[in-house]
Amino acid sequence: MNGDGAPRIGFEWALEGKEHGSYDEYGLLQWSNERLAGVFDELRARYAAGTPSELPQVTIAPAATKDNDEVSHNVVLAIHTWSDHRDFAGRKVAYTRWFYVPYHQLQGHPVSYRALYAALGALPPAPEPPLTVAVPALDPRDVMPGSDALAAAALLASGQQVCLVGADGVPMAERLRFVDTVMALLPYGLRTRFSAATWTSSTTKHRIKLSFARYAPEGIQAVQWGQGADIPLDKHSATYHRILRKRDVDYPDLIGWLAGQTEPLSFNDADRSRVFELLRQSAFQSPPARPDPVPAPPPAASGDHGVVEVAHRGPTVAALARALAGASADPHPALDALLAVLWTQSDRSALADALYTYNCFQHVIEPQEDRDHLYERLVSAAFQPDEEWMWASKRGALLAAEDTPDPVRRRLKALAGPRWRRFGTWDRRYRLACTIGVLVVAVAFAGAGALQLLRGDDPPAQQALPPQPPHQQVVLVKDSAEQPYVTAVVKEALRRAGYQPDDQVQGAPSVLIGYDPDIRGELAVNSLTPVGDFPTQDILIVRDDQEGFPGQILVGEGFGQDVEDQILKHHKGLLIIRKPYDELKNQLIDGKAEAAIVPGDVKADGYTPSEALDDLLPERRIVVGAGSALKPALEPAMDRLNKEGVKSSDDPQADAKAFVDLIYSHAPALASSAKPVSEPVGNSGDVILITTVVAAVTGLAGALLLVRRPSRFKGSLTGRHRA
Amino acid sequence: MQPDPKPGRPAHDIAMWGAPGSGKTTLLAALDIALMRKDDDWRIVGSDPASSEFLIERTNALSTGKVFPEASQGLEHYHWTLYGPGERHRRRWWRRPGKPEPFEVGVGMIDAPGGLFSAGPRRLDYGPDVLDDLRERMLNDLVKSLGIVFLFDPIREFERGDAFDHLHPPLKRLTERMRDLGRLTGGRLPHHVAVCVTKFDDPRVLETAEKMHLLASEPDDPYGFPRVSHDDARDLFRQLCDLSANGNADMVLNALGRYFHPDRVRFFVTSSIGFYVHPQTKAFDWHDYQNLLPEDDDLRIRGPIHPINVVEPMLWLGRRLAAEKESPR
Repeated sequence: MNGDGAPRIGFEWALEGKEHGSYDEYGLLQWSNERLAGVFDELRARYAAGTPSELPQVTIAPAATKDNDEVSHNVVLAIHTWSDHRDFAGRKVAYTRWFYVPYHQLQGHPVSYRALYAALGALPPAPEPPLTVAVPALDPRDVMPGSDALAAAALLASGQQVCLVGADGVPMAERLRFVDTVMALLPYGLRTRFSAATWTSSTTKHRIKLSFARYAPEGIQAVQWGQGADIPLDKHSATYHRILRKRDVDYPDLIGWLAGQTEPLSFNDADRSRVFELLRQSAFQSPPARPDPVPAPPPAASGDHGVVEVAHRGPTVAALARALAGASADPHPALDALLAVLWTQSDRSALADALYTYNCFQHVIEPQEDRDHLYERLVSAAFQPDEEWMWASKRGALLAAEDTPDPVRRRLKALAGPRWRRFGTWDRRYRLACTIGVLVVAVAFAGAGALQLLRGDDPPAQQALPPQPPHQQVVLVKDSAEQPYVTAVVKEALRRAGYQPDDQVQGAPSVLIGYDPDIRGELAVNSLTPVGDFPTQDILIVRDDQEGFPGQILVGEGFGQDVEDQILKHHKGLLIIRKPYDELKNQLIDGKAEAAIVPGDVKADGYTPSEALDDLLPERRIVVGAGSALKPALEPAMDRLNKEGVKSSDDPQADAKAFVDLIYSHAPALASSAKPVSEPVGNSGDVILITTVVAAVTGLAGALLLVRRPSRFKGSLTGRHRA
Repeated sequence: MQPDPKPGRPAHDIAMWGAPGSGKTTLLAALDIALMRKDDDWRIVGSDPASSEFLIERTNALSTGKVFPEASQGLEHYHWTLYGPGERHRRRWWRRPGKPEPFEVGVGMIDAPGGLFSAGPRRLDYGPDVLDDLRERMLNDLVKSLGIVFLFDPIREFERGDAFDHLHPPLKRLTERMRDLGRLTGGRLPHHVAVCVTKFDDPRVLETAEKMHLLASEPDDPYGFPRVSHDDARDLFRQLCDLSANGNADMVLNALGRYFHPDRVRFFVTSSIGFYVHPQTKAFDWHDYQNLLPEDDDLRIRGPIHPINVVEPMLWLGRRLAAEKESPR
């Protein structure tokens, strides 16, 4: 954020800290204006955030001064960093650089806190006159409010203190961006009374309006980072929240208009009605007077120059997505630029497509420390809860893709939510169809029950019909992990339950064995859920006659590229050859391979495990997924496998048989002392009872659905705009 | 939102009071280690997540990372509960002695930057009687507290000599405030005060005590650490006051005796990090006992932490305050 060419604003400054070896408490060391030194002293006492553990952090505070009964408002920015000094007790000394900006300068030139931080933070510790700095104007397109920012803004508007929790790993710059986002949703004039800190101690009582802490102190409203908060149903915050969440509001318009509302305002009761009035005007009417167009910030001096320039010309999502995919070291500016242009459904749809096309941009995002947050920003921007009709298929495609990163996968899965929740947002016709269906089923059950009652003198059946023997049912087992022992255990367990496991037939697998997280997408696509999850580690086996480290190593086709890269990095000149598993196995049987990396449960005659690559071969988790019908058959074996671990085996089939024998050897004793597994269902009284209960419950459900308010069918209770 | 401390439990506010760098936060950080090192059944538990976190993080930093807390920059409030073995009821003629009831006392510790106890910044234009926001809050906390842990740093006093400067201004203000609230008893402040002479592990303090023949070891102490009993601690305090850089430290002792009830003041000689113990001998060695050594312009903790008299002031205050609550004056 370079401010060259932007209007310059004046400031005063003070430096707080301790001299090296000092016995004194923290105090002001230098300042630019004697008259303001006392004000800084007061501010640092009033807005003390506690003893920080990580720096830098930023505190924002308001300050008012009086000259001849005329009150002047000021915005104060404090940047906390570590110094090289230590006090007499050997403790690190923190420096706080206080900057004091007269508010009247910002009334004609609204700026963001980030822009102020970037401009003032770049100055030397004791700036020399002239004390002015170029700060670019606030760009409304730079703001992308999430549910947490909307909640925080609504709570602040109603006069509450807000504490962001759950942001422990979020860098200071992102926290400051959040502060900017929240304040962009409020009239600019509130900045004359606004205070914020990107870090506060959870055990410090403070008066800071918007703070970040691990735990919200007593009396301060917590907002969960990335999620938001339950908005109390008080008149002000609920109203404000509802207005902000209206989806037909054009955010750049709203933010630009609010940035023009620079008359000084406070958070207290006196100004609250004025604040709401301003927001209502901005959201429900045509903006009465849009402020002068804010000057676009000049191109950044960094390597992402092109991205920023493109954004100013109104680029398409596709162009910015391409720019992000080609971003160099730091993808943040490109990602910000991309998110800043998402204003319509088609924009969001394009972003969802781009996520698929560019593998969620993982090649640029993965190296970043805040990668989870970046993924989350992308997913929440592309997949709006109200637009499921638009993104359902795109979500499925991303889940099915093998390369989709875990954080994205988790977020996408969370989008589905429990069925009963989504039911409330269904379209009316679907809900009516569902209601009628339930009622028809209820009537059918009631009829069956009545019929059974009329035939009540029939003699009770002595024995239930034997269940359909499942041995005729072929179960397709697919092993993507090339784990012969685990596969053999799965097949043996299925055989014991009367199924016929097969790995040759065509079709969707009923049991899937693979590595976590690669397998998760395939499990989701096939509607399978994990029944077993256990650790394993690949091993290097080396032919017995091989001396020294081998020159060639065979690996399976699914061997991780990152692991291969690591090995090659440490063993220059080594040749790693990928082979289909069957071919690799044959080469080992024939003794043709010098060495191979194989699953930990594999043994081969004439080969010995080597520890040479143990540090480079990561532990992986094998996941076994199955349909719900197969769970009872597999769970005992999977539980035991989890406890005992995956072992090495020369003869996987025989070992698996012995393993499963061990599990079922206790079964007869248990069965003889317990009730029969399935009670014969032959008593007509029971049938009547069950039928009646099912009919009653189903009928009740149908009745409930019918009597619910029609407005609910439109999903308007959530206050969300439906596309 | 952070849950409130468990309701219904007795809670007593105890304020830490001392000059900058006197070891207030370090003493709190060493509290859990001190309890763990004791053979009896005392435990300290956070009453809210943030207070628990302080115990976990600070204890780990001090014991494992061997890192002292940074200088405090704000008022910190911790809510903890001390659990300990109870005392058996005295036998009455009509009943047999009952089972001992476990001791449980809630303490709210207030840790303030040492600079807040000074007279205050002189730069303010508002006049001498107007306190800045943080000092005002600190004073309110002192008013609410029933117990005070006052830390006297003999090394700082020897080099700087400003303990009185960090005791007198807030003591005057506190007395005025308590008088206005009608809470002085017999013209004195009603607080119980544990006066801790800190940095006992420093050779200058230990050798002063040794010259005064005030050292003794507890018979059940496996390390044989030297200690000063609380009966002798006042004498050591007086002697250390004589070594003050500006000769004002005797006024500290006098002020404590005049502003508080003498029977509510007890002296302790403490060390948060304790003495070095060689891993092989596992015993205190007069020739090699320093656990804090200078290293590259910094200070390094050499070995495991063995706090001395860190938990005793808290337990004494906890018991006093609990007893006072049961039988209010």
